[in-house]
Amino acid sequence: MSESWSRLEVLLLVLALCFPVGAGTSHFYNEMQTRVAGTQVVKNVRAIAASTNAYHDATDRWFPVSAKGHARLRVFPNPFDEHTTEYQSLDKALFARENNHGMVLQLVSYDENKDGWLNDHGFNSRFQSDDPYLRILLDYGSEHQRERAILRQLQQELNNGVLAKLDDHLFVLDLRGLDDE
Amino acid sequence: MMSDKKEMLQNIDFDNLILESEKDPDLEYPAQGEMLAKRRIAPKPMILVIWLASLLLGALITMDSIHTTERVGSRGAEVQLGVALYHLAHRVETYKDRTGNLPDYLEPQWQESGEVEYRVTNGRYHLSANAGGFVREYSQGEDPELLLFEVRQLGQQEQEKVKGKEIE
Repeated sequence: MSESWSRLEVLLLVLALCFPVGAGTSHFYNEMQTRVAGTQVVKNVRAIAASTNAYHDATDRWFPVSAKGHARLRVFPNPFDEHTTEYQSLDKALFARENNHGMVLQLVSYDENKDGWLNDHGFNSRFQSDDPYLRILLDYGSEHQRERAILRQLQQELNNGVLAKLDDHLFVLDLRGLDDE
Repeated sequence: MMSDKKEMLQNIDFDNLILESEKDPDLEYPAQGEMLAKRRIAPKPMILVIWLASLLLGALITMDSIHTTERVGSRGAEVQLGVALYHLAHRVETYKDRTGNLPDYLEPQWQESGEVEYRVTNGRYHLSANAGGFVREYSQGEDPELLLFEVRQLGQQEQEKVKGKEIE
């Protein structure tokens, strides 16, 4: 019996080596995609924080008056609102699902009656009326590996203590003090 | 004739011929190929070890990749329904903002569209979902914040469990 490798053995070996190489390449590609996605979300959050802080510096308030005219804006952007309210220098595209890999970002004005629970989450300072926070609605949930990786990146790249988990699909990010660095 | 050939063979310097053949590019490849074919590269059990190790490694990487696309939900039914309805209502409203019309149906790629019933009556849409004995509904024009408000109440109740817990 010949001791050399048969063509079949060589073929099987090549196929067996192709499997982990292909799977590894695919895994690496997914990791890179997640990294890019996380970087984009962090960039969007920083841009939102920079705009809201600039608005606050210029007007001494965090939110514009609602298009309805009788109240401050509660949620921005809010597709449920029949009246479109503009937030000067804040690009709505920064909040869109398609620009945040399925996540919905919404700027919310703190309301003591509705959001009192927020101050129990150990943010760096207590929320006062009309302070802004960013509501993050996840598409899949924090148990999903990509969304969890994006949230982890948010937590690492922004200041510690700015992110609170309320539900697998609902997170709150403290925008105060964050700026576009 | 035979004696001529004998004489020619005796005159050939075989040692020199072998040395010269090594330098000849035309002779190099066939010679190496033949040698490789006869040479044992690795013992046979080694093939099996490499083969199994490769399959195992590939399977582990693939399983890890599958996990990234797997949908996992550990929410309670009531929480799940509220957030699911909010998500879909948000999608419907966004669609309406962009096109001016309500969608005819919930697109399958919209997350949780399979769990929620959607119907349009008198130009208004209604969403309803039920799971785990809970039923939740949302109709166009209602305050969508209430869908999340319930989540917050539950979040408070379960706060002791999750307080201080960072994303793993």
